Amino acid sequence: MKAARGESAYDVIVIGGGHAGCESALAAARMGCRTAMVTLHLDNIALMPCNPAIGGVGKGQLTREIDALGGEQGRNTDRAFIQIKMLNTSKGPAVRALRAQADKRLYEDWMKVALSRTPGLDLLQGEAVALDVSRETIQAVKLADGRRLRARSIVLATGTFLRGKIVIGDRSYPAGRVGELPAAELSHNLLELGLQLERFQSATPPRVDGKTIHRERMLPQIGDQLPMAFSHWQVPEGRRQVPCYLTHTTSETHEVVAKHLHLSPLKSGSVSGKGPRYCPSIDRKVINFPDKDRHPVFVEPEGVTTQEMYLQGLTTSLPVFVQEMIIHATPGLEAARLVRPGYAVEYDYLPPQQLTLGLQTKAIRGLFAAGQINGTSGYEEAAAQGLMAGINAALYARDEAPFILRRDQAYIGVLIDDLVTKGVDEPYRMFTSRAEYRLLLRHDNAGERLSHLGHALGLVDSARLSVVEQKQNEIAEYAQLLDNVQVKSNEQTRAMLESLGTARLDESQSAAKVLRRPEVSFADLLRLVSTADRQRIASAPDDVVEQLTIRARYDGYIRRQITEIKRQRATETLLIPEDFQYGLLEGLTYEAKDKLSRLRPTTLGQASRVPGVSPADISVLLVYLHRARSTSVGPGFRPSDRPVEVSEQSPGGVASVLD
Amino acid sequence: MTRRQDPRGARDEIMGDDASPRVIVVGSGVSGCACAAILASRGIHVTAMNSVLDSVGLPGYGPELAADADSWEEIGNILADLPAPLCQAWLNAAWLPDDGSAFVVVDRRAVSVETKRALESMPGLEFRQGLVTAVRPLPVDAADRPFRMGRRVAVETFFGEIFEADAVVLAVGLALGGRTEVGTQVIPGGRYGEIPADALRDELLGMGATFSQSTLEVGERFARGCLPSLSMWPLSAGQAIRIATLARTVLDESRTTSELATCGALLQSLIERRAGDSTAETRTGPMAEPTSAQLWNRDYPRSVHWHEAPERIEIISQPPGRAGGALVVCPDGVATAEVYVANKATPLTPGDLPGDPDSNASDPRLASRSAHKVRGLVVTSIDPSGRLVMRNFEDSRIWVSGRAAGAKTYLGSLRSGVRVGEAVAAALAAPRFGDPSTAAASPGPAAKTYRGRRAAAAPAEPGAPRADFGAGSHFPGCRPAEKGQG
Repeated sequence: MKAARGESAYDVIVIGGGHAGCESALAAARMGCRTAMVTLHLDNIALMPCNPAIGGVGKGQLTREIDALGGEQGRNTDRAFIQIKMLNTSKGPAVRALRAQADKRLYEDWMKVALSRTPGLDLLQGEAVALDVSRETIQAVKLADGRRLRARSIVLATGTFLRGKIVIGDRSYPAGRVGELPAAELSHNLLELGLQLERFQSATPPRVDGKTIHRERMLPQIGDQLPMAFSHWQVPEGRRQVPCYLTHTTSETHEVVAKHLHLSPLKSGSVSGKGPRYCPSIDRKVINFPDKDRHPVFVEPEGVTTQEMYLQGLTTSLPVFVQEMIIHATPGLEAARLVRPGYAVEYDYLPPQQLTLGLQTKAIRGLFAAGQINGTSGYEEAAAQGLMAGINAALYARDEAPFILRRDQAYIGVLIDDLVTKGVDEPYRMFTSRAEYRLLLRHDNAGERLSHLGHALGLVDSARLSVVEQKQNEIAEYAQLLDNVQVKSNEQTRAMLESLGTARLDESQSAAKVLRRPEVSFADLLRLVSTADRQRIASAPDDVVEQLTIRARYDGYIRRQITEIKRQRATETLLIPEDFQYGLLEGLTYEAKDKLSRLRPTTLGQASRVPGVSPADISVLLVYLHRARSTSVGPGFRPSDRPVEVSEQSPGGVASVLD
Repeated sequence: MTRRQDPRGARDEIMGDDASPRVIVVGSGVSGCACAAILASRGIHVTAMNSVLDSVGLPGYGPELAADADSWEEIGNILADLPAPLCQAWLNAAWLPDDGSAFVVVDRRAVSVETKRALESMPGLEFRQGLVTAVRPLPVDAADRPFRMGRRVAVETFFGEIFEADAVVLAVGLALGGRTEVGTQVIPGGRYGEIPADALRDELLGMGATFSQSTLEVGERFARGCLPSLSMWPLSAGQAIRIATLARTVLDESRTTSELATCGALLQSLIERRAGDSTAETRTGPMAEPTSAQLWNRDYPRSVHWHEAPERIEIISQPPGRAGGALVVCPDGVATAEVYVANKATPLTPGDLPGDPDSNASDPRLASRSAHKVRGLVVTSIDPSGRLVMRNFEDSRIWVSGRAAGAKTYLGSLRSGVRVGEAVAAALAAPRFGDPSTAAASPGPAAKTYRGRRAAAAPAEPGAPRADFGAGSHFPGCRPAEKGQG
């Protein structure tokens, strides 16, 4: 592409250098697009302005999926973590997840290294002030310093910077993050272009000086010593981990909050945007849960080069003196010295119903959006969208169909479908409960589900893919072995089974079947089989054992979910022509007509999840769609915007779980 | 003047400190950190304040430590004057070229992280995030003394906190009325992208301070990959060695001392040695290809420990023969692929740089960061020690340090920070200043460093003048939060 003088031409331009922006830029560049990442400040790439932690239940699954697709967040966390832990090990596999505490500075540095090493990716410092749009198609972005960058597609990943405003108590100043100038002009430009913007707010707790806390009065939280990693491809070397500490607020803490609630921006109205319900401020907790006499507070180090500690659970934007009183009323923090006051930030977001499932704006072709601008909260949610927007921006630049993950394929699919179909009325956060097929979308099988898709996109190289495939083969081999190995019904095994408290074995059974019993662990199984068999199956590595156990134990549930998915798939993947005239349909309720014509869902499945659309409406739609299909598809299909692969796409991990 | 009422009740008093001297350093850049470290090393309680703690210690402009004019001896002496932890931070993150020129390159990021770590480890030194909007001498009032422990100066932050101290050092860089010019854009801020200290400037104006305008030209940065044809340049390419590596070599060889404080002398002897030893480093000559491997060969930052910086980096310089003056190209740190082009005389335009031979000539690669100019105010009404001269206060407790006091380079800022720190320490030690009669006779509650006066005051008219803080307290830029959306 040639550019005029003073211009520069790219395939993909990403605006923003946070967690969404980094993944977007990396994905697009790795897919061979000439890519630029434009950020307000190149010294602040991949900053973690809130908790320097990655993962957790629901979020950890996202990070694993990002990694399986060839994203950077998992690997970067592995490089920078100072504590890592598997959560919910005593619960079912669907809710297990890794969580890591990262060194904030190291995380930024490593991400910058990754960006700097990626060929075809330019990092540019500058403020994007206007998008150039012609014939509803993105053309270029203008920077405040006068430069104009042409692009086939642009990803907006502006985080909290659009008309950002920082609030403590009754005071506020315009800022994207504390001390950093916001971006106001781009907001006005987006409004001029006909996009709709709303306000959300988010908040961060105060930080205290680690030298002034009483560690002995709190409960240490130690990381797991086993080698663990988010990445599928490498397990980091062991390193010394740093403990976190657990304490609780007291009634005195709550009294302080209650006494000063009138000074809270929540009450005084100086924050108009809605905040995250699932990450409530201490003010909010005291209002909503008056009978709770304590709330947990995790005191977490921000890194190994700093003494600053993050107070998870004490998020507040009350005036600074109240923040100090709250901290001092909490055991272990009586003498803690406040280093950074907590604050709230209010910013513009783009209500995500304006987006397609490929994260492209419906109003402007070639314009994509990812991260907090879409009304989410959390680094993992941001990175997941960033990756998908980067992939789709690259595909768009190459005139290829978008890449869309279904709800039964990935949490990422759930995330994006929820956002663009249902919209958000508060900052969206991922939970396992949002995924109806969570037993299939596990932390441990993300590679199996998604890495072949990453490979097809060019984001996962063959060597990496073969690592995952080898693991699959290994699991399959051992699974077959378990099918063939018999547990004999004799006195010895009967006694052993009885001691395990499980039903007696009347006749010989395959080891695989015995392993389905929740009381029988793999180690028990080894004692139940003959010596020769034991030697054959005892060689299974730990992760293979884990997979075999999960599959045996949850086989029934997993089969049920797969049957359900298969049943749903016919409607789920039925495409709706883009110019489908809902208004002409008889039998649709007025509300459904209104909602559907506005949202324009891509598939019938998506239509069925639009709030206000009933199953009866879907039946009506189904009849019409089948009729339309049998006659002609019509001009409504624009291949470049439609996920042609939706119905043919490889079933991925879902089917292979069964195979 | 009556004794100030405490709006928060008894709670206030608990947060007090002892009567030891207390200094607030406003701004935690190069000079602010040097000053704070000096004061802390003298046993003075220091609160170092910055609008955002993520950029503490960050050399916020180019990676060059000093201009050509500074000699090796000067560099060595200034680094040697720094307290040991801070000196180590700079040594670990600075490289000297082997051709005898005094163009020392620092890894800005590493300086920032190591400086913060070094300062956090110093007893009596604490950081506090806050945007300072006002500094004010407190009236000398006998009635106030037991309450304030004789604290004579206070700063106020944007969010209404008040900190009192015996002295305040303003090390705010070019943030006083700071503006950054990038191309056609003028951005508020003394350092790119940061909130300027306009309110503080207005406060100082109101106190009768005088200023002059200072302009700093910051060169542009390019991604390393954008300069694939460096070999076509008539350049001399040299290597620079990490100062810490040099110092260690000499320490190992001489085994006379392991004191970091002697590093100035060490450097000097090193330089002399190296001047006579032409074979010590072989010049690599013009580079065939910029090898990022050399940057990453140690896989920095490989571990959670920050000691993996490469021993050597490349510095490329063009002799002054180039139209427009000499040019130096050097890496902008080890965790980035950016290279910095120090424009010694006239700014470089993208056209000056040879483009990728394969690409279209009309499609020059963009600078990752454009060259820009930073304009900010320098306080001129200061005495030689950096003390602010005020008409009605013969005993000023306010000092100015670093670029705000006229320093032009990082080295100058370090020097200024050290000198002001020493001057403040000396002044606090003087009997007249410390007013020991007050301190000794004070049985009352300990002074506090912080008072939530604003928050507890009547919520109406937050922008109104504060009666108890004297006239002229208009706190520009400080507005009550908007109620809802306008």
